[in-house]
Amino acid sequence: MRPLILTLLLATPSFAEVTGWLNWRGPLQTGASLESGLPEKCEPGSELWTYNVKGAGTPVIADGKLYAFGFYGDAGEDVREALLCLDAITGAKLWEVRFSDYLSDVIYSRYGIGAPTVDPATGNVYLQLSNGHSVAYSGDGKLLWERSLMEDFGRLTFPNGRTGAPAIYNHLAIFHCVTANWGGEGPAADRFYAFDKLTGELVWSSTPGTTPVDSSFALPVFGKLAGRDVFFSGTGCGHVVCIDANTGKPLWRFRLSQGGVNAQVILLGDDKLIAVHGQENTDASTAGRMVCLKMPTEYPKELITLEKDAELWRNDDLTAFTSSPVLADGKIYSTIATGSLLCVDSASGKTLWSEKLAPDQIHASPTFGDGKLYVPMFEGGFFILKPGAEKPERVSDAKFNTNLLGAPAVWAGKVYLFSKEKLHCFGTKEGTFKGPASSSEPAPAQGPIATLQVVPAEFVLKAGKSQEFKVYGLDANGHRVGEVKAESWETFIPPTAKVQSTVDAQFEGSTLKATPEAKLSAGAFKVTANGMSATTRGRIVAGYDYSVDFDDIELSMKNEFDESEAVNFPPLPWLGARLKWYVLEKDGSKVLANRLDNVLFQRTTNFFGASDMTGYILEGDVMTDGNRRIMSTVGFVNQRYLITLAGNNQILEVSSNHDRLKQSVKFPIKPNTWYRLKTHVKAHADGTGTVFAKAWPRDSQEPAEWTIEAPVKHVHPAGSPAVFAFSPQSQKRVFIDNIKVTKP
Amino acid sequence: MKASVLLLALTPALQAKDWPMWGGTATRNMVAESTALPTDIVPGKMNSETEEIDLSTAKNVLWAAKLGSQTYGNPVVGNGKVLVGTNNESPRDPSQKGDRGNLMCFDEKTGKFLWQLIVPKLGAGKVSDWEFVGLCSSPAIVGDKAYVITNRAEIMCLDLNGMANGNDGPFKDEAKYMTSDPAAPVTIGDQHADIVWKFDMREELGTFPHNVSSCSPLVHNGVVYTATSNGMDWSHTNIPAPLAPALVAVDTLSGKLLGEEMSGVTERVLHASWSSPTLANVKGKEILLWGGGDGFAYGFDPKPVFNEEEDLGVLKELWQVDCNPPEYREKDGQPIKYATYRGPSEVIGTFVVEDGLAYVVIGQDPEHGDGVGMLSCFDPSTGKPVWTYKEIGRSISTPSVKDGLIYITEYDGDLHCLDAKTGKPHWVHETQSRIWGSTLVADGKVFLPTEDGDLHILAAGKEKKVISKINFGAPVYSSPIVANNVLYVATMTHLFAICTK
Repeated sequence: MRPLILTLLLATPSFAEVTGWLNWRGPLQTGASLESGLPEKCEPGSELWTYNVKGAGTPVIADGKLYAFGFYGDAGEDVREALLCLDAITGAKLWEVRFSDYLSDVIYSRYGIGAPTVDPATGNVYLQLSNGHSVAYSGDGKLLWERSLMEDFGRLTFPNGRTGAPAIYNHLAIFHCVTANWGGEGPAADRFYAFDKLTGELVWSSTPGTTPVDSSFALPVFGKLAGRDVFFSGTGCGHVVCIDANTGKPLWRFRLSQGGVNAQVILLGDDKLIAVHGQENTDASTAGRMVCLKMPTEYPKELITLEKDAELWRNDDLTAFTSSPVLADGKIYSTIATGSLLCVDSASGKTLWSEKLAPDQIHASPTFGDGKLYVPMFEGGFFILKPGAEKPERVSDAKFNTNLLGAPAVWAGKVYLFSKEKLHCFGTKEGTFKGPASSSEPAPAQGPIATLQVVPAEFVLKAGKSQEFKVYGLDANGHRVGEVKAESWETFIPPTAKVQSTVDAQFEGSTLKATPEAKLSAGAFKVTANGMSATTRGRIVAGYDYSVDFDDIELSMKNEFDESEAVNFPPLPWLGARLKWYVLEKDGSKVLANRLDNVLFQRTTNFFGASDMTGYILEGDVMTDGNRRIMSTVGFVNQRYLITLAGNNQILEVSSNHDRLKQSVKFPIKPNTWYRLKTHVKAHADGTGTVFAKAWPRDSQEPAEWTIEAPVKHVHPAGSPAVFAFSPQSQKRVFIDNIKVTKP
Repeated sequence: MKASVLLLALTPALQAKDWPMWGGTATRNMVAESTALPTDIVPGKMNSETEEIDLSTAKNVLWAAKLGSQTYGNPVVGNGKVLVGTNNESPRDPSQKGDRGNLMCFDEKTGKFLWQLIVPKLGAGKVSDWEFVGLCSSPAIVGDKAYVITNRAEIMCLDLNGMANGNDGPFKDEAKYMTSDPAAPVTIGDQHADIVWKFDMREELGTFPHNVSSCSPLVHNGVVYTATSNGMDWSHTNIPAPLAPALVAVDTLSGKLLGEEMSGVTERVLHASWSSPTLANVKGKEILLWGGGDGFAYGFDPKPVFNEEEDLGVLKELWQVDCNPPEYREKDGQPIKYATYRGPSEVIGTFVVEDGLAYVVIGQDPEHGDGVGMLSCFDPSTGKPVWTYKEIGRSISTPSVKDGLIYITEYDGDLHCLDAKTGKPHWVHETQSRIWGSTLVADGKVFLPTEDGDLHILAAGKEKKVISKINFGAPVYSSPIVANNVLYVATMTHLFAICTK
């Protein structure tokens, strides 16, 4: 790759091979278009074309191809998300891929609340689905790579399903989410993951904030800090953050809200940033505020926290949680929670006017183009207004009989809008896309190598497999100079590590090899070259021949909430498990037991295998504590199907997002009684499948028949094994023992 | 039971014009007797530093008290005290900062802060005790006690006089209860609440409160009745505690469980059971009326009876009827999905009884947006529908019935006025704002609060007549009340006591 060609492409695009409305915020990163001749009426029935796919985000357009994140279906497994490619002028379908949600918490078909992003260098398209499954496709619909952020990095899922969009920067595709991964990244946090955009290998991850309180989906906004390429974003932990785009190093943060900050930030030159939020303020008992921050101009050595004195102005008229503001002609336009459109002077922060459009606003955002604001509102109103000094002129008021949640996109004389029923295109067939003028600024010269970067920065390995690594040299500005030859690899234990742990695998050259007998393990390695070093970390996870009875784990710790209980942590490679489970003694054996000290963790899913595993049998002993009123739910995830014994419901259940798939049979479950639970998923040649499960009292003989055989329309092709516990209100514990994964 | 009856008999009678519970009385009719309430109201300017209201800039405001940042618990007034549920974003105890539920007590005459109950969050995120929503229950004041549902899903009995008269009741551990850090108990003083007893519905009943615990209890004949907020988990399709009841009765003196509904409400629950119970007295027979989280209306015998087979006390069901018409439940033989525009709804507003008839409306969590609704009029003794009205969207409000007219708001922003006997519509007033609160009819006027922070005042009557609209500067999610000829309006951040000055 040419590292600098795309630097800050969105602010100063120059040599891009592909042009258009490539990400949901448009070519200026501000929600504004530079086009003229845009339609003055956008009413149902007046479209140039429509396409029958539901959506709640923004389509993107690249050289005449429109890419949309939508969904189909009304109920059950028929509800599927899709990445579509249409002819942007005619609406004709060019290609489409559909995806079945798995294991997400998305409710009420809140799918498709996000957008794809197109790489201007290659035309490839990138998308994070609602459950965190992330994909890269070529412009002609060929899968380049896919990653299950949930199974590989412990990406958490939230009922509202909002995923935002990936950002493309040089050779990186950057995804934003909340994860509870492992080791130092085990506690849940708002994180950015930068993958090599061509291979999907992790280049860096970044944890810029504090404990998250909301989901995170703001799209990075790129800019400069002391000559270095950085990006800015709101986070689910209430901050605005600045991160080095090349290395992921968090540079500064500013606490804006006690809730999440998910509206897009706007840059005013190199040193000012405007952000808005809609939750509790940090220093007043009101909700919502827009601020203009004076940003640092020196590259900080360590993460710095901006204080209130960084605020150049604040405006408490604005309460906008996820609706993003637009910048045009020095004015900020933002829709607020109570359904008004506000015009704010970006220099002074003063509200210039307010126009009530609807009773409320949730997620939709305005778009500016051709001197007009295109403003969709949640209740279905779609307004076109011409801003004035004291008030706007209402050009067109249209009403859609469905909710509007996305922002309009503008391309070549056309306005594109998603409704919850279909994708609408307004305008003219004849039109030319107008983007920003090319920058004449030459790319800065690369300097000598100053630091190293290992790719992948995090790995997942099964016993008997190997992993190749590449080591890159970066110059003082973080730009990739080229690949360097590793001189040595060695085990690395961070000085701050709470657990001294190493990976059961060895390097040969720059290839890490795990023997077929390699044990589940996790740790880090350090590479040295040219007198510099860098690290990578990873795990050896369960494969098809894995069993664990916990008996070799020494109970050397005390339960911090019950000194009388001797415990230890579950295996380190289990994702997000250390705050959720203990190993302790029960009924004369060491077993896994969920922790009840934090009701936030009343439900936990912890993956311990590789996400490409398929067709395996996962079984184990399970038990719930309880009484006649209160029990808990315990079980496993097998190939992205959750299979549980639900004590309070007295059922054996198969699900994978409860709204999409929920099948069960009655099964008598007694508290404090061990059961054996055995699970298997079989994929059929026609794309359907069957989920099998059987349960029986552990001391009885295994029944010949499966207790439940759940047919599924679109079988998940693969997925990592996981343990699952749900103790409602953290009242009653569950226990798991003698886990076994085998291939039949 | 006898002891509690005796106690109630000995406690001083409330002043006739207090508003000691949600809806003012056990019939929950949002109507107050009063005169000369002002319509020319200026709430006054807020000092941006102290966030206090500068009363010199206000008009017809007796006093204004700073609340937290979100106030859903409706004020009640009894025995000289004003109680209101809010959050802790304006901490009155500097040592207890951070997100909590908070019940504040003020002096009725002066607005002086008297004491507060601080309730740590469950820590369940949005699932069972949503961040910053505070304490959402409107207490019931009976004598020198107040009964409230906390954000921790507890039924709680409080000493109306707080700690100022000592630590009463069997519960003595307020110092530990009110802190979120077990290692740092609260230093209890006169300005803290005195908990008499508490009943933890999560631990005792296994309830799973959905989003938050929210119900305004009914206290009658020594019994506290409350919904449990038991509902779905985050998946909105899974009921994690199907064995836990949706409505319970506990003893006012001891806090012991006396009875629970056995009508299967939880197994059918659409979202959560939040509605507050109502008491009807029809020709001398008392009936407990309640709208379930399953969208059904219920009539119960208010006297719990012990069921030996079940080994527990039971609230005997007298009747049940679906508050949804069949076309909201099914289309072409298939169930219509919940939280879709045309789908079924639960009851969140409260039953109102007036002149021998009972009224209730269906609605959903505002987060679910708009959808079809219905207002129903029942015979409270049989549950037999008298009339229904479908020209209304989803509503979480409670109606006002006065002089043969019923006033009811819907979430979409409209106020409807109908004939209370026939359901015939008279007029509709559109506010263009979301409405969470309920109307109050008093002094010949209809007072209507909105999310935009406006208090709309219209003339009560068959003809629509708009009198005024006052903006309070912050959204209003609560309902106005009148006690002793003072109008109370709680915005998200302030409580205003309003009267003609």
